[in-house]
Parts: sequence; C-alpha cells; structure tokens
Amino acid sequence: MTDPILSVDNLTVRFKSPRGILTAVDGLNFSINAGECVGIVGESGSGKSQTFLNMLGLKAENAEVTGSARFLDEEILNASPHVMRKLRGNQISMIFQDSITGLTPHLKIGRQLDEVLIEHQNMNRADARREVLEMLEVVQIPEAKRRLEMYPHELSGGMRQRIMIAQALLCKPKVLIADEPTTALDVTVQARILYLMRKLKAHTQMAIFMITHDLGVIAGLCDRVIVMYAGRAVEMGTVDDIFYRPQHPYTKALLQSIPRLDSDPSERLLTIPGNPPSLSNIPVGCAFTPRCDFAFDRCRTDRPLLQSAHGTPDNAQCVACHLKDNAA
Amino acid sequence: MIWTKKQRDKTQDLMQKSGDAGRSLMDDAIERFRRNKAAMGSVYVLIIITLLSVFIPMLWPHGIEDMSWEYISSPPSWGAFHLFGTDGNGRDLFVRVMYGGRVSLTIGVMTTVVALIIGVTYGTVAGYLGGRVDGFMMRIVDIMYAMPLLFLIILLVTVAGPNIYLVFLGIGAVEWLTMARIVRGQTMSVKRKEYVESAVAIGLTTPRIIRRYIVPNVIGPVIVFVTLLIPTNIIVESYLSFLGLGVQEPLTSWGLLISQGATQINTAPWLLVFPATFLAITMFCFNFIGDGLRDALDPRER
Repeated sequence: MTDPILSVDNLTVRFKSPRGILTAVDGLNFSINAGECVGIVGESGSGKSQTFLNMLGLKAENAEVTGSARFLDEEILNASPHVMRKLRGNQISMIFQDSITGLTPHLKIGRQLDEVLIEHQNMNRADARREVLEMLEVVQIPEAKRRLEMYPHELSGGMRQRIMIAQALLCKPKVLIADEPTTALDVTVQARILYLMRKLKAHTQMAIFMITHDLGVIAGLCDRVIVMYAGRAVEMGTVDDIFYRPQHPYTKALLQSIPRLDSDPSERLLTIPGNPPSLSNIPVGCAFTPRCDFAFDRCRTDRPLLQSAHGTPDNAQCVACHLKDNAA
Repeated sequence: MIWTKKQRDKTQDLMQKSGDAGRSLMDDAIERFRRNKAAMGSVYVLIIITLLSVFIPMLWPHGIEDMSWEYISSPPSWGAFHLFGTDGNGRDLFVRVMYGGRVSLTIGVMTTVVALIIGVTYGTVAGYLGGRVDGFMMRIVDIMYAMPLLFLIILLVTVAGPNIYLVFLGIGAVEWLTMARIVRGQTMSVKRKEYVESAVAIGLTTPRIIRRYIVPNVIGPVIVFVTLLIPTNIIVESYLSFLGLGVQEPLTSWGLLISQGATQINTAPWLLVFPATFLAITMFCFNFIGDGLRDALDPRER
C-alpha cells in the first residue's frame, strides 16, 4: 500500500472563549491517499469545517491547535505562515461553500484567477491567462474569454461557484478540500460539479475531502466516509460500510432521517431527538449519549474509542461505540 | 443642461456596446454620480474656479504685487480692470483672489493627498494585521490625536521657519489620524469577508491581499471623506494664515485675504466679500460632491 498523501494524527482544536474552553475538534485521526475521496459528514457545528480550516493554518485568533498533520511527510500543523502560504492554493486547495461572496467585487474575474498562478508558479500574465482559459473549459464555463473580463456580480451563482472551483484547481493541487461546494447551487449545477470532481479525481489522482451534510453527494462521489459528532469521529468506513452496515447509532439515525423514494409518503420522517451538545459542555462519556436510544450506564462515564468494527485491521470500518463490545 | 440628450444617447450606445465588456461596481457608481445634478454642477464650478486660479494670474494686466498709487482701497470698478477693487496697498484684489485660490486649492489637495497616503497605508495595515500590532499602532494614533494641531504646527514653524511646504506637512500629518481610524474600521469589517478569506486560502501574500483585496473595498467611504477633508484643510490653512503661521506676504491665500479683509470691513467691505464668496462657493461644491459620491458609492444600493 502507498503512503497516504495527507495524514492527520490526534488533531485537536480548542477555542478560548469567555465561557471557558470550547473543544471544536477532539482528537481526530484520518488519512487520505492520492486519487481517493473522503467524505466528512456531520451536523452543523460538529467540527467538519474547523478541522480543515485549522489544518491549513486559517485559524481564528483564539484557536489553539494541537496534534499533527503531515502532508507528504512534512508537518504542516502550526507550520510558519510562510510555508503555509506556499502550500495553500498550490498543493492544498480549499473550496468554500459561499460562492456569492468568495470573489472580490472590485477585480475582474480574469485578474483574480491569474493572480493564483502568478503567485505560485511565477508565470507571466499571458501564460497565466492561457492556463486560466483552459481551466475554465474544464469547469465548463461557456464563453470563457468574455467572462474573464466581467466582474463577479455579473455572473450567476452557479457560474461563480465554478469560477471558485477553477481557482482552487488552477495549480493542480494534490489535495482538494471541498467545504460544501454545492450547497448554494441548484441540483442541475450541483450534478455537473460533482461529475467534474469525479472526473478530476480519476484523471489527476487528486485527493478530495468532501465536507457536506448531503449524504447523497457522499454516496455518489466518495470512497470512504468519516462521520463526525461534536468534534469527534464516531464512525469511519467505506461508503458501502456506512450506508449498508452502519454500526454507530448516530450514523444509523442519520441515514434514517433521509427521505427515500420507496418509503411510505404518509409516514413521518425520522428525526434525531434533541440537539447536539454545546461545545463547552460535552458529556463525559460518549457525546451522543443524551440522544441515543441504546445508551446504557457505561456510555455516560466512559468515552468510547474509535476501533475496528469487525476486528480487521487498517482502513476497515471503525466505530466509537460501547454497543459493539456488548455484542461481541 | 448637464445631462444633454446627446450625452445620454452616447452613454446608451456605449452601454450597449459594452454589454460584453463587464461593468465594474465603480462604473455603476460613476453612472449614479453623473445623474446627480448638484454634484455634477459642483464639479463644473470647481473646474472653472481651478482654471481661473491657474490662468488669471498669468494673463491679467495686474500682477499680485503690483501697486498702483491712483487706486488705493478703491471699490470695484471696470475702468482700470480692478473688478474686485484694490486693497490698502493699491494691489488688484481680483488677481489676488485668483492667486489665493491657487494656494488654497493646492494646500487643500496636497494636504489631503498626504493624509490619504499615510492614513490608508497605516489604517489597512493596522486593521488587517490586528491583534497587538493593531493595538500598538492605534495607541500611537491616540497619542498624536491628543496633541493639538496648532501646537504641532507652531513647533514646526518655529523650528524650520515659515514655509508653505511645512503647512502641507503639518496639516497632512494631523489629518491622517482620522483617515487612519476610518480606514482601520473599514478594514476590520472587510477582513472578515469571504473573499479575503479565500484570498488567504489561495495563498496570496499579505501585501498583495491588502493592495488588491482590502484597499479597493474600503475606498468608498475614504473617497467621501476626502472630499470633505479638502475644504476642512483649506479652512485650517486659513486660520493658520490668520495667525500668521501659514502663507506669508506677498503670497496670499483665501484665508489670508479674508483675515486681512476682516480688519477693514467698515471701510472696504469688498476686501472681505470677494475672497469669502470664493471660499464659500468652493466649500459648497466640495460638500455637494461629497454628498453625491456618498450616494453613488453607498453599498446599500447594491
């Protein structure tokens, strides 16, 4: 097996706030190989975005990040701003969800795109422009040449999102972090963008992290899935594992709360009762205990560790739940 | 009419032609500004005043230092080209008002440019870097704010002697403080915008981000402030001249003319009326332009 292109070890993000220390991400371990797509699912506030923002050094002033993240055997967590700046947008790119505000209103699209290449690849403007045009072809912007002379407010949301994606892909990054790239878009554009990502993944061996709460997107695009809850990974496995053999009660509940075509329309959609815990007050044991139908005494006191669900090693399904021990 | 039919047709033509070219938000703002009659009128009036100030002293039969013994403190008359009358030394007031306009407008613009450059640079850097750097930089501004302007300029003038460039420097060095505060505040709100975050995420350098992503987005309120700062600085120069710290005889400025005219208001009122009128018109124009720009650049309209 090849070495993972990016591996994260015991990543923890804490915020110092007036109400005490908030743990947004709690001891996360994962890795990704070239050409692989890993989906990150979880409710709002489960630490999906924070994981990656802090990994890239885009942290808030009051954030404290510990652990390790190795990109091609180089430690990038808390690396110098200079090192990180060269990495960001060049080797590791990130697509943000909000395309409406992701482009500066006072620069023409073309200038904003050229800049990335001029900065990272020392290209001159003419060469950069050529590359940019090629990339816009890839993301299927019609009449690309004309669009480059336009300002962001003159383009539709879908087009802007594709521009943002093009911007992230310009330097042919080894790792792409897509933070809900399709949330703001209508389904047809969404489908096109997902198709594009699948193609890129296959052709360029790019590793993609797909952060989303849309399980449909995960099923269509990803190889593996990490389910996060209150800053912790509760379950990890291949797409098939997660969708067909979910082990953790939270994953199961999540899957049951998606409307299905073959379900009885008169039936109410299942929801998970309660709210995610406040980050300043995460339960001592398993964070999901208060909302879990299967919780027992040990769940309240003992924090379950992420371990192999079937006793098989490496990359197989892992789950953090005491129920598994009970069953065994 | 400011907005003639011909111009309108031409603009529509251009708009159709440029349908592809991309209209920036700035183009839209200019369009809005051009529709504001008071502001456009003010622009034309200012241009006229500027042209008069530049060319009249070159072309007028009287120089600013020429004294004529036949006409001392004489009221306005057409006969000897003393349109605005003469002062106590028999110097033609018309040419002196125009020359004063040169000096006043130059001081207004130059001091503002000084304030603009220092203020925008300082404010964006402090606001963007934030944290301790910001705290330190803004405390310096607070300390300088506490020093009275007059004190600073008197200090400069006594150390280096009266000099018009010192006036530029002195006024500019004080006015940039307010500019820096405004810019810093704007920067702090722009900094949190997603497009700045994404600029960081694509790995641009901090100077580049400040230049290309912060400055263009804070410039709106700054431009408005600039149009209001120019008249403020003209006034500041007048009271420095009034105190004898600004422009020195035989050079003159509107402020100086007014202060001299004020002493003879009973015997030769024209000495006060004409320079004061020009100063007032200029103030009005700048204020109208400022208003027009604020309306044109108001982000709420987008």
